Amino acid sequence: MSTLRLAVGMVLFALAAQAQPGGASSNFIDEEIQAASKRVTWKRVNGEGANIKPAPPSTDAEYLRRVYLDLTGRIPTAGEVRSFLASSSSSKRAETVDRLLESEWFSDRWAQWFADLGRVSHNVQRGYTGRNAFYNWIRNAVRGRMPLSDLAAGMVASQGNNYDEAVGAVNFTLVQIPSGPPQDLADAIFARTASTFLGMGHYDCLLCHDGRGHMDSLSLWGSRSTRLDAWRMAAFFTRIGYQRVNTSNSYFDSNVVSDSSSGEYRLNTGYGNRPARAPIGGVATVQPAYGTMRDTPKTENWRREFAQRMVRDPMFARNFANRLWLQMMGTALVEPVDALDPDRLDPAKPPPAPWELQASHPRLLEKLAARLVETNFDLRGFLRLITQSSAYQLSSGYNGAARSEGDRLYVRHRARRMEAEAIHDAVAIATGVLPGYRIRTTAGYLPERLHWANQFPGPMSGDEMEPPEAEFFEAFFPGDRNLQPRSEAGSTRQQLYLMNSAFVNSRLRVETSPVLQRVASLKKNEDVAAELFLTFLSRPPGPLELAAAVESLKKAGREKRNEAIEDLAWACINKPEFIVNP
Amino acid sequence: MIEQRRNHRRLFFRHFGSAVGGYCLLPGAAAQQRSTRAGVKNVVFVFLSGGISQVDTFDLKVGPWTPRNFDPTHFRGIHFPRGLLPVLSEALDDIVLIRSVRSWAEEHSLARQWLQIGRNPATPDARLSPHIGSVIASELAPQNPNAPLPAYVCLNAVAGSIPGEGFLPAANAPFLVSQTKGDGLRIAMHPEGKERYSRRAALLARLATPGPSTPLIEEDAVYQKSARSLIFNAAIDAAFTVAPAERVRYGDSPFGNACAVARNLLTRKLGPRFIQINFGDWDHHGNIYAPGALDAGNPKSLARQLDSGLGSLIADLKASGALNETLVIAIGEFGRTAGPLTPAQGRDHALLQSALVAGGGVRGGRALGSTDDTGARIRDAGWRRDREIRHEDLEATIYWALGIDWTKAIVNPEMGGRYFYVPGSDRQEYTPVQDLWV
Repeated sequence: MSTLRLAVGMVLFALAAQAQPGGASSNFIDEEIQAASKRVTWKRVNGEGANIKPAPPSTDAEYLRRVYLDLTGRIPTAGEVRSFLASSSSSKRAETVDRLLESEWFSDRWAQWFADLGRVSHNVQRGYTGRNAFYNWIRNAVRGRMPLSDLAAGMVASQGNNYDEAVGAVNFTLVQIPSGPPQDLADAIFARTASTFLGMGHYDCLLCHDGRGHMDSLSLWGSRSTRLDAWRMAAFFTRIGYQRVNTSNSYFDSNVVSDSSSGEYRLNTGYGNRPARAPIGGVATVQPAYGTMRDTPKTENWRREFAQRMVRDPMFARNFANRLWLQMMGTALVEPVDALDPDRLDPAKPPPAPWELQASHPRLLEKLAARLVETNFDLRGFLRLITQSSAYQLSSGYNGAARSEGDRLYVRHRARRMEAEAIHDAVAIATGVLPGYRIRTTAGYLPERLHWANQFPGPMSGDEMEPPEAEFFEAFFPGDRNLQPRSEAGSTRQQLYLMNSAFVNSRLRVETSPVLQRVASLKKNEDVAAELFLTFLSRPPGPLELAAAVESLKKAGREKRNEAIEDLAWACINKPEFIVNP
Repeated sequence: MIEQRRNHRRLFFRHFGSAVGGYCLLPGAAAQQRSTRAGVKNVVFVFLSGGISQVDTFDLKVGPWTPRNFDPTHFRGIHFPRGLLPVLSEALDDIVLIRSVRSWAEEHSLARQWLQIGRNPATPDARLSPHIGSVIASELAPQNPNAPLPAYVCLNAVAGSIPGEGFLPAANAPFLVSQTKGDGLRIAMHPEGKERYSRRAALLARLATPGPSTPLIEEDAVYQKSARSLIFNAAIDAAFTVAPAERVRYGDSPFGNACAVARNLLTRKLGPRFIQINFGDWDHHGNIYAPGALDAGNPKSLARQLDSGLGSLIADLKASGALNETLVIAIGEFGRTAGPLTPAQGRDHALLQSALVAGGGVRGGRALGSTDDTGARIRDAGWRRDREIRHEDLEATIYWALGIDWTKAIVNPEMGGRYFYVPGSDRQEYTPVQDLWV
């Protein structure tokens, strides 16, 4: 019986894969995903004979909203939805992707993604001007198609004044840590670098103690690695130095980041953020040496030497492949994304039992990483590749039979709540009422106001974003890029804000919202309903929805028509799907 | 760092049933670790953000710098600034002043997080650690199953500034209420009024889409239902409304209003078991005795606001018989320098600090622990461990008082390792300060 269901399931899946409008070619992504699915025995879940049925392909409406949000962080306008749905071109999905990849909005959204990764925020060392310079450097890099290897190397090895946009990446190394010996600073910068760009957050553990006895069930590589191994990597960051600028000009309070030509990582500390460092077997100074090959630097610029090796490290490509995959697909191939285990990722070298390969799809991860390397870490090409797969284009809807383990098999696309920035901007786009935020610099404010959350340089301070905007925004957990992580969790509070906040309700006025004004000018109630659904929910109303909407408009009569339109708009915002990336 | 996987795991555990399902409960020495104190049901945690100066308040050290109107007075061996904190001085019989607490970090962000999650936030092990309030919410059954509010409520918090539920299920997240103005729960009121809200809600219901759903949509439907139960809810509105006379008595401030609201939420059993009230900014590096700060003569000063609000809360809980079942703690993330003021006429960060504890049946009217005459060093730790009291000890104390097994460890899905409610409890590294009750 279950074999039959399995067979049926696979047939449905295969059909789903082929029935793509726009002719998405089955590429290696789909091959690997289907191969993995075939190996799984569908289990009975909770006593029900529930099989995991693959989802059908996404509808055009579902797809458009998803790809707009994934690539540009904003929902499409009603006009954009309408023309996409109306088009009969078989290549319309691919063309839409191409257009979005070239847009300014793409640079905004992905600058934000890299700003999350690089932890772009204000702190005492950076100041607001440093935060802004860091953000602008990233945005220019994304816009200018900088290879991700150069982007990462820039953050790790830049030198210069942290207020200068040209070297804004230097702010990555201005990590605020409680005071301790210089080795603590080297450790902190290295640990952040390893986690961010190699996906190897376990180095942070190793900087305190050997892996054995601590990581034996967490990481095969970790359990075999020692504190000395970690020090050899951290040593590359020993020579970094900061010089605060006190001249009373626009550089006041900036920091110049440079590297001296001397300095050693000594094992001679007894205080600070890490356990004492004492000589080991006669070794009192640790020379920088990269990885298992213990590759030593050839020049004095140790950070640059580290960066050069880092971008050639297989973990570098795997890390980006995994993180970018997570962002587009909603489920990573290796979780957590900063706990990659180098000894369990190569399918050609499987680990000894009881260890298993770490990735859910080990060959897929390797192929994605290889594609990044082959294309010189081209972001747009990589994202395009993912959007072309059938897996990406599956619907996220399910009829109750799907279970969460289906997520890891990619039998449907995983719907997610939109990020705070996207929700904020969706309300602004859909009503046409734009906020204007003043952006701090260290000395004052930038002359121009910002309208879009997708362009925020970093977590906004109380001077930049006041209640009620701040409260609405924060309810969706953007995180502070420091101790509070970004979260896609829901909450009762979010629902209260969607229903009652001034941020939303002040924008739902026909007199002041350009979008609602245009809607109100439509004579037919059916058109009003359709336009509102397309605007807020990126789809036309279903027949029951249309009937209910039209009835409510009719009941309002001529005098109360505008009010009824506002009510309908409010209802669209409060349908659960408004804050969803499908 | 984007923690998107977190929600994936939360969905995973939710599909397998209760909040407890899916976790491995590792046995602690459960039985004797539960409190033998019957009856502590709730906690009010007043977070004195910025770090209150203890030598001017809870561990008074008089010197040439002390303003006259502080009116330093001895109450049965407790030296207390009656002029600065007059209402609290009347409640000293119910108060224990812990004077031997030592914070771990002098940096705001780190210390604040440390205090609220009860462990070092900078270690990888502490990834996504829940707030103490969230642990409590996950452990305690709701007092009233139909209560509209969740177990963990935070008043006057800046959203995003306090740790959330971490890796625990979303039901244990804090319910944040920003500025309590005492005029109801604003966000639970629709700006266009009741009638229009009803019309809109009815329309929304008629637009509900039948057919295939996603777990996400189902989740948000539950949240929306919970939100709707709060909107124009008379009991909630009343609890968040503070009448003018009462507002004045509580100090006529957002902090005072929050204290009055906390009293209402607890005495009317509207759901919360752990109420945090954020109050600051006590980071007085300069001008510490200025009118807005620690000024006995100005009823609107920060200190007098604390006094009126917290003092009235303690008095009212006592009058209504609820004080014994409510543990009240007021503490900052660290202390401040003792002795003469700095050149900026303030006090800088210091690890040594004090805490005010009341209610929950503690034996009040005393100080626990003491410092030397300068106030800069501990003379007597004041409890059975004979060492400075740490935030982790206070965390253990709170769990123990509520009858929660403070030695418990659960699986931390983020790290794959164990999450101890109190770090190192298998080695008894930190323990409840039971001496508060003895």
